Amino acid sequence: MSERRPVVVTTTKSDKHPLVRVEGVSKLYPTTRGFFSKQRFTYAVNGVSFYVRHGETVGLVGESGCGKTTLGRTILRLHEPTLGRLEFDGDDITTLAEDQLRPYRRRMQIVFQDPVGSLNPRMTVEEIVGEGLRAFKLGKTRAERRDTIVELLGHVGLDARMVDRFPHEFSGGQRQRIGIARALAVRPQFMVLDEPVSALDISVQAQILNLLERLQVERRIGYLFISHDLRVVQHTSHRIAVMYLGKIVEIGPTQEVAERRAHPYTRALFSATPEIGKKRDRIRLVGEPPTVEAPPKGCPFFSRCYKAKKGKCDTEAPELATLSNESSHRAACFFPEE
Amino acid sequence: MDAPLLSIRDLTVSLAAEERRVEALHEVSLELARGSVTALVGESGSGKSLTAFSILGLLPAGARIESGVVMFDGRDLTRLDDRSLSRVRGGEIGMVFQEPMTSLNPVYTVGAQIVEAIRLHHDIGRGAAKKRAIEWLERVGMPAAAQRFESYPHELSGGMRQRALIAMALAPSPKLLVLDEPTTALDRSLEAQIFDVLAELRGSSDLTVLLVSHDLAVVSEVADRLVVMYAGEVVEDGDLHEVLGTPSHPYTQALLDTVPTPGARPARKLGDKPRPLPVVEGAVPTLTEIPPGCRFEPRCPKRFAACARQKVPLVRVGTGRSRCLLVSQPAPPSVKRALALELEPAALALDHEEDDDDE
Repeated sequence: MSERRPVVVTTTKSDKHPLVRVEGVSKLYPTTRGFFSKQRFTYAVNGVSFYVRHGETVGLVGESGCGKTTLGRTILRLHEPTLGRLEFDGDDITTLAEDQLRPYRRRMQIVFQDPVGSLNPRMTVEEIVGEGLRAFKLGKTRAERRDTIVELLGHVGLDARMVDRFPHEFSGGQRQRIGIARALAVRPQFMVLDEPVSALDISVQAQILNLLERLQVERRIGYLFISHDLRVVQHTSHRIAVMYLGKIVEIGPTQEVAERRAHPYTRALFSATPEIGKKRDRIRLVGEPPTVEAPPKGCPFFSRCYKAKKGKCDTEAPELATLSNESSHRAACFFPEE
Repeated sequence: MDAPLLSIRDLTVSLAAEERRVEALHEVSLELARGSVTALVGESGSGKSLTAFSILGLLPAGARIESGVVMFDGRDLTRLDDRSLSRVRGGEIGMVFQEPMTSLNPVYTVGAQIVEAIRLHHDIGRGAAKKRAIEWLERVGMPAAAQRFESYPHELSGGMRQRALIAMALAPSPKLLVLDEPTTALDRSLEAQIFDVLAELRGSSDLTVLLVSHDLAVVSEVADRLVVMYAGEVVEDGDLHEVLGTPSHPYTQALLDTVPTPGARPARKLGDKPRPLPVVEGAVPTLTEIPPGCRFEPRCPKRFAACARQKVPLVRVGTGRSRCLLVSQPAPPSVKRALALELEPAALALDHEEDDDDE
């Protein structure tokens, strides 16, 4: 194994801290304000708490508009959190100024969905992958950095001879490998993977999923794996968090979430996932999802839930509560499924 | 038996590429029986969407039909002039494309657009057309259909827009409905709603459907025939359950194997070793670098020496067809032995050279 000697030594304080801890984080966006009317806000992320451990994949699933991408970017402080607290490796990074945040920036990276739009078409692979090395002054000379880049290309399954080529010369899967190499270059401990395989062909998806898993095990990287595809998330994640309308409605070890599906929304989401050769025995949700501009007072899922009770679910917001003493499995529902 | 509603025979389409022409579709043949739902699946670059567009005469700039016929209800669509073709399009053949955003005109209400689609192909009054439009909006599950009739496209969610488009495609009572990735841009719950609509239509009309998709799991819910394309060719087709149950082409098998299946492996635990999914290495070849023999040969786990050397014919097998030498001609004995032992025949290259000499 070639990963025994890291180029950059990152001191991890201890495994007692989770790698990333998110506490009560909200991200609000101001919406239209008339001259006389009150300022209104959109809750893209609404009071989210969870953690990611070293070497762990937490899968974040939900439908479009649920806030999963905003949450991923807020954790990296690419968006500023409006409320709440962000911890990285035990340090509070919520309000650090950009110059103090800099060392943490290196340790947290992101891989985007769109392998075409996220790579600068005018830069060679060497420049794209080497950008972080230059920015964080990893490697003294250009030759030294180039060696590192060539080595990285090998790790992500690309030919070293591709180092001087431009993004358009590559297939979708190869471009995603370049995106992964770029993120890996600075030796991150945490990576947000935002729909990393959604734009790829099925046969290439499996290649990238295998690559991400191998890299994680070799380097003990923590992943936040954002996806709308439960099949992929179940395959890849140690734990799953289900998001609806800016909130985590259920979180727990993959198998427990998949088997119990305690929250009615989780149940609906799983039942809508297609499997080859099977008819979906689907839970039909009524109505359209409410918008984040008018989040309901009670449970966010109230208006579409098949178990909702008037006078309870529409007036009180359920907490994300543990379901049993033996497990970290939690759901935000007054009437969780057994 | 009835003649098929649509029959594509040996359709070859070329595209302009830097001073020369490349074949994007190579001798594609397929038939749609009346009342059937046929799924056309493949990865990007397989030619599945181009096949669908060719039926409608909607070829991208630089594309040209080199040879072949598209027989629809007794007429060859490739020989119709633009005017006749545009009467068929939207009338006898309805179509819905992937992007519900760009397929609707933003300056007209949804209702006005459906009414126009109906009146273009049927000689009925505005009032009757409106009634019919609202009925169709209801049938495709549009909430508050009469109100949505007056809505502009931007006032609808993505799922509602896609339902409006399906209503618009169906309202002129087409014989054939062509759907190109109709749910790819939608969330799973909306996708399932769209497929409910399709399932309901199947039960209540003799509509014939061609469903183009990259997702085997999704189409396996509604289709009864499956056509698999790879690099511009049909590689396998047949009844859905037969193809899924006993795929005869290694590419079909690979597509089935590489989809992560929930529960296929035990849940990950921290510190576990990586447990890779089975993969097919490489990617679909680009049009300028199509392999000379079997087009899947460079990636195929079951390839043997002959595969790279000769064109592989599409031969009958079971309820359909397959384009694989392991099906169309008996494999050399050493390859059979290797496959029986689950070895990779490519690893025995020397061995089959000898076999080939014997043939």
